[in-house]
Amino acid sequence: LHNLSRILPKGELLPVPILGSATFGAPIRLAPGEDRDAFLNRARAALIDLGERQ
Amino acid sequence: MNLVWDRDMLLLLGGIAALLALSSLVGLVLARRVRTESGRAVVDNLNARIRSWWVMTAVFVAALATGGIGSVVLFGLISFVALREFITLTPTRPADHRTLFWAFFVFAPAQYLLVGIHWYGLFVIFIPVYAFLFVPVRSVLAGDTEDFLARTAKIQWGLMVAVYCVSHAPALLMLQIPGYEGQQAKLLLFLIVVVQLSDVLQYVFGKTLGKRRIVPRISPNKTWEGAVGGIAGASLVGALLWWATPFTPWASGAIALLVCILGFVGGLVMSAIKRDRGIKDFGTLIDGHGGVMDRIDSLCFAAPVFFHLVRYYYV
Repeated sequence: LHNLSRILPKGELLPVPILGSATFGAPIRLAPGEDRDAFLNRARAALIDLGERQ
Repeated sequence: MNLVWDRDMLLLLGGIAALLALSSLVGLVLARRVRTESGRAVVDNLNARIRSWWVMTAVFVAALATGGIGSVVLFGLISFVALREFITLTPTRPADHRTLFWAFFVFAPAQYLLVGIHWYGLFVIFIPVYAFLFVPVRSVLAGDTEDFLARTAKIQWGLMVAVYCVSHAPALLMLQIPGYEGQQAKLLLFLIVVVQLSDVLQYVFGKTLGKRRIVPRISPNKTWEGAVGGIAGASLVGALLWWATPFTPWASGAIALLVCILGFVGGLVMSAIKRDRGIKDFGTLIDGHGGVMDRIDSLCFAAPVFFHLVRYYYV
């Protein structure tokens, strides 16, 4: 989600109508036999990858 | 405010509808004949632009038909969206949040309220004096001095181009011109037609004959052939539309020429801002054109000068 902190910064009461946007990545599912850390690392890498492609 | 819908008005609107119908026809023919991949992209964009023109024209005419208030509300909304696009692409800091809130929800609506109630004296100074002084005061109270001057200037510029300049277009409706009472809607239509036709013709001439680029680093699409052809063509149309204005044919042509040149440099300045921010368009609201700011960039520069020119010589 882009511009969220500009639309409504922490601690503010009233939002400002700056344009926001949402970027959707490919869905990620727990692979059979995958443990918690491996999945979190994979999800983290996918998010970073998505951010870099922007 | 009572605006008269006379024969001239209907003639103007008929002309616009005929022009749009002709463009749609040309777009249809081009879409059938185009063969290459890059040509296909250009024609698809052209047809998207023409479809958007139909929608924009319909909205604008509907607003004009309500008399004064509809036009003021429409331009107020245009300003609001343009300001959103401008501020979105301008880096501000969290300390500017409250200042931005004032810009969006106090200064922009207040400026159009002043247009709506015909308070000329405050309308011309409200943003350049009161809003411009208020902006740094509100930001300094937030206590962040990082990039202070640049941040203040960005918010002021956003208010200037998106709100103050654009508000001069509906402000034409408040001008009381002797012998032209109740017909100011035609003056607004004249300005919009000349400015936008200049943009359209610059695009057409640029795409068909354009070779030599004016400022390649700023806008790859602006060529000498396009600029001269578009400005000359739209000025000629402006001269031929003298019967809808309080001007003589020669004055009408000269004013149209000035408006077209201002529109051209306005587009150039806004392109420079976009290149500075590393983007192509301000937004995606209008299919084929980009954002609202991309469509009204030329109007921003043309409207205030046109307004004051008419006010000085004809009121």
